[in-house]
Amino acid sequence: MDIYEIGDRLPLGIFSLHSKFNKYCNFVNEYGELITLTTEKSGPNTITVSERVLKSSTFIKVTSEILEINFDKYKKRSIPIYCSKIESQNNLKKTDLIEDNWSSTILELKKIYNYLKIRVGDKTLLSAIELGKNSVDKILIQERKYRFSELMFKEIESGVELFLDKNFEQAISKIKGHGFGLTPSGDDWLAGALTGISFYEEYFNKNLKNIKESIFNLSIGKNLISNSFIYYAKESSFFYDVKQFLTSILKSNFDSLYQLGINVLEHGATSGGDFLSGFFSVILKKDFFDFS
Amino acid sequence: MSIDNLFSGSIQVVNLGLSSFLDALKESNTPHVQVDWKPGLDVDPSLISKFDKNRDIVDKANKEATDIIASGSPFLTGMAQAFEVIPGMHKKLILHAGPPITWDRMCGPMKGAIIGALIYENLASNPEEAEKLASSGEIEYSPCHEHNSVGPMAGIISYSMPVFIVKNKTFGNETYCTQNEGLGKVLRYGAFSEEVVNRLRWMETTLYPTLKKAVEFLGEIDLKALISQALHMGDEVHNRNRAGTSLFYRVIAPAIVRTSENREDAAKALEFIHGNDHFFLNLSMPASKAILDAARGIKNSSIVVVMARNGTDFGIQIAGDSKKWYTGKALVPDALFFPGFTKNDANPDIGDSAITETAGLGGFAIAASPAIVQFVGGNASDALNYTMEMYEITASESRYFQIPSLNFRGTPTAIDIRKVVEKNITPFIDTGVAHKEPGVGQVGAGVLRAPSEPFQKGYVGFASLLDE
Amino acid sequence: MVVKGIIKSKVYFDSVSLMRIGSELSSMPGVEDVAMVMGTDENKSILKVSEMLLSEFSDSNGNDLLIGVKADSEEIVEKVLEKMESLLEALQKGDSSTTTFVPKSIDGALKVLPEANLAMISIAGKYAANEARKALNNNLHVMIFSDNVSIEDELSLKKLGKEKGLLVMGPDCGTAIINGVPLAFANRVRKGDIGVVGASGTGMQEVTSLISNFGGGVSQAIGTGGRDVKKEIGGVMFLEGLKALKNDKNTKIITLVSKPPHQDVIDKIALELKGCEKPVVALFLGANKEELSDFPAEICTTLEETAQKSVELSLQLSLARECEFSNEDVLRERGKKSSNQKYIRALFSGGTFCDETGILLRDSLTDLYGNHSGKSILPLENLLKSQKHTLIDLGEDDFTVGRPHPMIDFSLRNKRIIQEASDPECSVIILDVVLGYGAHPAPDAELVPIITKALSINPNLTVISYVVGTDADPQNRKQVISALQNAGSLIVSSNRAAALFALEIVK
Repeated sequence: MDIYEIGDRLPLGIFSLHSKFNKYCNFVNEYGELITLTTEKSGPNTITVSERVLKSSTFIKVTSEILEINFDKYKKRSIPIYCSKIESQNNLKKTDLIEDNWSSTILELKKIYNYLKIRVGDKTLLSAIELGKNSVDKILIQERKYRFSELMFKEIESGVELFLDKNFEQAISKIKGHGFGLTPSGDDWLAGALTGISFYEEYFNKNLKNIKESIFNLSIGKNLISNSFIYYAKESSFFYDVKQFLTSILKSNFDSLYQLGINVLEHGATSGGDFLSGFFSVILKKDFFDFS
Repeated sequence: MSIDNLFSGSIQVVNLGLSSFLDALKESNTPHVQVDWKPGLDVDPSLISKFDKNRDIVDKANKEATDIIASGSPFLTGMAQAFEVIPGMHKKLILHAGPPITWDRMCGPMKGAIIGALIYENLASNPEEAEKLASSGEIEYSPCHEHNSVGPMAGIISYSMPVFIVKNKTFGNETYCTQNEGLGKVLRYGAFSEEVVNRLRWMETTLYPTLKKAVEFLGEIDLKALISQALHMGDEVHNRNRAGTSLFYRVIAPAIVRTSENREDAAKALEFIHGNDHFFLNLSMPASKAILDAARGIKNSSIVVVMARNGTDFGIQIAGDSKKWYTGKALVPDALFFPGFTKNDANPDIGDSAITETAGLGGFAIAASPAIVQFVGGNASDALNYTMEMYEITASESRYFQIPSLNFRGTPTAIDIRKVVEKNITPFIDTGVAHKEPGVGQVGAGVLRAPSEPFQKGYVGFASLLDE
Repeated sequence: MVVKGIIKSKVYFDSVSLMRIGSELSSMPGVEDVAMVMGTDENKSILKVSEMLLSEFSDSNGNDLLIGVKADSEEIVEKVLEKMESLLEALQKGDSSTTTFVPKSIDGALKVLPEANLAMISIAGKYAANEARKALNNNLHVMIFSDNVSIEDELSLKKLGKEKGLLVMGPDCGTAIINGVPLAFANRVRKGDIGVVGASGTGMQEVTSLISNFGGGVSQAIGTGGRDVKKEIGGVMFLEGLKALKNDKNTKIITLVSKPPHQDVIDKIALELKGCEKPVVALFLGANKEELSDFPAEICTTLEETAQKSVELSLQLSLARECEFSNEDVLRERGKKSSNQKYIRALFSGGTFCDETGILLRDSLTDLYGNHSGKSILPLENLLKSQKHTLIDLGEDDFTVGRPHPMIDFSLRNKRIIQEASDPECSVIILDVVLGYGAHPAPDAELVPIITKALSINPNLTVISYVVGTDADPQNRKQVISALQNAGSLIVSSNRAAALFALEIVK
């Protein structure tokens, strides 16, 4: 058997090859939905396969019962399923207890945030963005004193400020699609921010669906891979490394967060750092979650 | 190089010593290579520093030598009888393989071959007479290598024997080698029966004229091209010459048909070549020598230009000191023995055929020859490792002779005596094995390391020629 | 100034490769700026502001890769685009050459691994210098684990290294962490922004491990070998290491760990630190703090303090660390003792721990004996028998001749633990347990039966251990700690804490 695990949110349809890399391949259907074949870690829309399958696949068909890769058919029921959900915080019933726990969690997360910032390369938003400091100098931009990459960060940074002030429409236009990488940095940041909101929801058993939907609708663009990440973040469906990271926060297992955070960081050249920047930005921003 | 570069890049580690230090490197996916380090051969440390001081001078001389070796172009240009072409040849001179040796120290196969040669030359009528003459002092013995010649196994060349003439067209130097007799009871393995002598006579009277005319008809045959093709076809042209022989056959056959006056002679000659997979050895050897001889006499070059064995001693010569032999005891090969024979039957290493290794062929190119890996322990990766190891002691890689399984990397060429001594890696030779008694013939084929003694002595001797 | 560019449609390169290629291209001479981004409208608007939006980019979308180059001349732009093509092409090819060949020499190894940049040398000392020289001549940085290298060789190697801009760590350098990779005896610590230069192997292991355990991380840990800071060597590599950390952009905090260097070397270090913008934390173990009042660094007196200070500067927060042992602990242990049971016996595998313990105890205790004798520590009459308070470094040559280091081979110390437990005057045994690469793979398996036996011989005995290492080490610190605890040992987290705890009990 060359199929090891499938995600719990696999889209249906007929998928053709979109892009191919060493350890994963993306497939896309007519609705622009994505399935990722990978030899590594699972996610909501991944199929974890052997290297042989990864290298040879050109076509995937998914129905509610059957998974077909290169005309080899597999019963979905017979394949282990990766669960992309995190367990919600049920053990603390009383609101004030949860609040207490949250504030100590925030203290620990700050430490980890500081640590991860020094661990990350200087081309990611995690290191580039100083939270709470609007450092964009309009005059310098007008005088074209910035190089392309600096300009890029300044633009996103100003977007992040707006985002944290909940001026989503204006913010997202300054964030989405901006930046480096196959999935532009800004898109990764947005996926991280949505993950932060989803996590907060789980932690406090709240419903922030409306906010997430409106952020999501503003965030999607033409990059199918970005869209897919943003979508699953909104849906509270998490990729393996992110799930591990979030689960450890829920369990107050802070020691292991250093390594788990680094596992997330190591996605792509900057994607992991950009994603975590989004996550920490909303989580650590005081009063961000007051949506009243 | 700077420390900043180290910090901003990723580290890649060479580890000399404790292999347990690799654990951390493996776990962190750090590219690394373990060095199977051992101390160099035992030489006076002051010599090492003398070599160190002269490193640039020697490197430069070696560059000159390797350039000459790289541009050598050996062609078979003709044939003749030994007395016609070999310098210094006379009726009572017998050339033999390896470094100089006196009759009393000669091994069985060499003595047997000399007995056979004396009968062949009509200097004696039976073995007893021949042995008496051989030990009488009347016969002069001299290494083939001192007469621009090479001979496999006992390597005996006497006055009347026909020889190939191989010319290095780039530098004009010539080398000579007899025709290969085939396997079984043959002179080069010390056999001297009537059958052996009769074959030699046939080779002189029928094979030689037939071949000679064909070669004359062709004008010349490019041996370098044949060897490089043979390597692509599974030969290493020392212990396996099947492809080389076939390639030679393809070239020579039409010429023999065209030039031979006697159809039966032509057929016999062609059958003889066809029936002897080692026929090409006697061309790959003089070709190797022709390439290397051009590099003799380059002052300060530490490149080895000869490795040769006489069944008793193993001798080498160095480009920068090329008149001198440095010798040590010849060792018995590790071999795959033919049924009925054991290591106890084997004679110590013998023959000039190690000239192929000296030129980057033979054991140095064994990775090209998976068909004979059974001689080296059975699997192809061993053969690869032997060739890879020889890159450690050579100064260059051949431009023409390539190893297909190493992505057509050039064979390791031009042994640097400094590297042999300082790394304690002696050359690797694959070879046929003779029975220690005369007249029995080949008992197996196998591999061995050159002994370290000649290299140690060579290192010391060569050092004395360097400036303080 | 010329701006040109191309679009790559429907080909996708992973981000790591895109970034790598982008930075390689922008560092080419004559290149002003390179943009290598997906063609989203948003990216295009930034390209426009930076005057790199070419007309041919206008139809591109978020699935296209745009490459814009701004450079001094047309020629250079062409060169950049050409180089980019070849880099992208190389990406799509894999390499497949693998052989099992084990090279026999450094130059042979370089044929197998041509990009190698560091040689680790742990062959017999008399050969080590020669091989190190070859490595340096091949432009490799060198870590020499071997000892018994002559001081003349050490100096000439370090001079050669300095001349060539190469690190020469050692001889007798037990520990280094370069780019996060633990070399020789080192622990798997978190990566971070604290750069360490150290002339003490076990000291560096403790400092780097504690940094990691406190939540900080290490950028580089450069070992120099203990002799480097002596007068003869003059701190050549200590200074080179320090300079390198000053220049290293991933290092924000510099931490120095050494026994007191020769005064000349201290002066040179101080000079080098002048005007250093990065905060510096220094431990010259055993030096008089007052005498270093002019030294331009935060001076610490213990390994633990050094790690803590470094982490506080790195994470910009203060680590509130409570005392690890309570008054009750002390009273409980004290209460068990019989009247003549009053001495500490500290049995170390790490030399630096022995020194540090001596320094911590010497002002409060008299009758202090050991094999690192010196200030207030008297030489033992017989190394094999403890006297009063005794501190022993079992890694000294007296004990290690003909056997492996006590971090690997526990047998000698195990015997000594039983010997001490059987001595009615012995009150507290201190043990260091060093984890990490190179160290014993399962120290708990060795120590648990011995501690159990010692406590059965003398139930009033106190055994205090501390474990040098991290949870990421192959031996796993947490597991080792709980095994030792179950065997009856008290556990603290540092050498300093162990010394102070023991002191409280015997006082």
